[in-house]
Amino acid sequence: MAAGHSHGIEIDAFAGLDSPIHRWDGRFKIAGLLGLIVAFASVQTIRSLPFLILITVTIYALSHLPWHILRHRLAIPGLVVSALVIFLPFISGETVLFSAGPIQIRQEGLFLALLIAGRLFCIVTLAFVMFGTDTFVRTIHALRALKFPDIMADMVILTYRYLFEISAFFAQMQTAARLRGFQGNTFSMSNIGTLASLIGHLFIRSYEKSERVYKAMVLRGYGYQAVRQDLFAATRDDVLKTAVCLLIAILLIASDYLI
Amino acid sequence: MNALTITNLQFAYPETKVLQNINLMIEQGEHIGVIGPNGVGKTTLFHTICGILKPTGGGVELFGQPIKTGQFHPEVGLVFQYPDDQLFSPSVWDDVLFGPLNMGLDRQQAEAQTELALQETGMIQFKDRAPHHLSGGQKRMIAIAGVRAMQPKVVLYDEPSANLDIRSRRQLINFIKSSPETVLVSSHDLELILEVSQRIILIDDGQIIVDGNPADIMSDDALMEAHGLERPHSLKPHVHT
Amino acid sequence: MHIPDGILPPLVWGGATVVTGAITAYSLHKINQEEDPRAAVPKAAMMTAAFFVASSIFFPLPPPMTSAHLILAGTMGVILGWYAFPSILIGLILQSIVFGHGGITTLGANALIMGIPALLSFALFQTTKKRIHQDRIPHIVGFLSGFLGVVVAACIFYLFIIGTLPADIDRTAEINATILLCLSHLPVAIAEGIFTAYLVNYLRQTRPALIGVQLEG
Repeated sequence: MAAGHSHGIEIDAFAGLDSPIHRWDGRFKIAGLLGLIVAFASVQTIRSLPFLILITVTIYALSHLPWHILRHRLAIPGLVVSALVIFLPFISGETVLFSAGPIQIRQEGLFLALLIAGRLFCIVTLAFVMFGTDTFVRTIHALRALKFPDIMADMVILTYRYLFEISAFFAQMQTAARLRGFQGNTFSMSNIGTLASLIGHLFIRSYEKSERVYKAMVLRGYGYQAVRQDLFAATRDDVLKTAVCLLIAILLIASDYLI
Repeated sequence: MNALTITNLQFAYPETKVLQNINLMIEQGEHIGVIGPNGVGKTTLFHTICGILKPTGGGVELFGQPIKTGQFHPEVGLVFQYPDDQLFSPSVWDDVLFGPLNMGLDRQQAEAQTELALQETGMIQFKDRAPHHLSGGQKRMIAIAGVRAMQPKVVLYDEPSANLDIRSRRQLINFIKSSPETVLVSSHDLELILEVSQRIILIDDGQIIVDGNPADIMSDDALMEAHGLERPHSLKPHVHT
Repeated sequence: MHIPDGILPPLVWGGATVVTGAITAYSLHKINQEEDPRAAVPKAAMMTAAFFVASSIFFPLPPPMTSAHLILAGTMGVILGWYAFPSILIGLILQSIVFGHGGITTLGANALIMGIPALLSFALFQTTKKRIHQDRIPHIVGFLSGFLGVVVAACIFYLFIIGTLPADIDRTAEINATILLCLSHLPVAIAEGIFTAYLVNYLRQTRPALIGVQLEG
């Protein structure tokens, strides 16, 4: 769970734009786009890939999200997947497309690599549309409305709230240790011990804080009664957009498996 | 009727007694300063008053109704010493709205109270911000707004001026001074206590040592020194040589 | 050690999602049996945030290796108990929403990679809790939690990846590769084992309540 703390707020940065996707009711948007994502991840043939890409690019264009941010979001998963699929064209399949000395490029392996890369691109892009067109908090409210368990939703919100604070505190602790001569970048038993104390202290501080936060929450009525959340009101347009997405999703799977 | 009646209040951990025999009657609208050295039970007193700690003896009544530990008492609000403990929501608006929604108010009413509390504390322009992006003074006022939005009758402030710069502290003092609610303020900032309270109690070793007029008590050098305190500067006679 | 979207075939990610859903539901059921299920929510949330932060740091390894991330799956099991699995899932959800790392359809698979070792070390810790203040016990339990946390997580990860490869690739070669890849994680596992031994002992001495045990004596 490596955290890149600096760009934590980025996900809220484009929530204020206006587009057909931004105007889509949060609950229906998640249902529709998640339906497409499930269909994308289920596609098994290379024939379906152009459709996936066409649908994805259309939706991304509709969302008015900037293209350069997408490149940023794709960088890390793209790297991981490339490392995993790069060898497939050389070792998998019967049909040799191209050979140079001992090296052969085979069709089946190449297609599989392309399929995996294509699915990744489309799913990551749609996921960014799903989460990037609303604020983080409203996304969680929408998930709650879609029956995501209350305890888990409360935990997500609290974790998100204190993530940056705990990370800033840990950075301070590391600095303080360094100023007193701790050099964490060499291997030794005593360094591992120091690191364990640093992180142990971080856990204790976080634990103590959680006890104070719990008191503050209880004082303002946490868990006292179910809170009415009437944040969403869907229109016929919202339902229509979701219906279109789900229809495309069903057609994609049907054509991929049956034809 | 008294806003708060505290009778024979005791609180003890297995090894140590924290509060002993606290008796206190507070009238509606009174502003009370609570002073005393660190670790004598001021925070514990506040926590028992608002029902998050169960007293080991005696009890607290709020407008004649006993405070029950573990129940939700929106009539009494506590402003925590560290605002970060209190501002647990991801946005200022959500945080201030948290209490009113839990009171079972409908959304419109809850939002109206939220808006009002943010107006009164002068924080409305920060409503869409994330709490961890605000200054210490702003966090403090928003923590106060979060309590104020529940429209409590009694508000307890625990070290409200800690870590505040001069301007935020002044804003806070003016705010507390003009608050219509019954107020208890615990602080080491004796100048602040002097400005906002009509009456003070001095606590040491878990007991009320003296209860009375702020200027009289704080001018008593012998008393103040005996309990690890100092006469505030503004109460010292100014002698020009 | 996260699996991105797009790699796993539908049966694998679908199956992993179902299993993760079942384990999460069972964990929440266990949590709801507690007297006040919400009381531990801030604790679990804050610890999730702390784990998130702690797992972002590198720790040094002996040469020729340089450094590695802490996995902390074992530690989460020890500290969070039944909250461990939901916490891991929440960490992954946050990561995919806010930072765009991990995956959506692979949430289930990724939760199993971290969550199964966490639950194993929770079970291990439960059986030794009563003797935690005896000599060497915290170190042994801590080491095993940290060590197994890494080894089990690595094995599940490679099983997912290798199981995904096309059928025409040699099966025995696949199995050998899996074993080899898991073995390559041994040094990291040993280092995290030592780290966890120190950590469990530190918490036992300074804040036993955090690992659900009484103070010594």
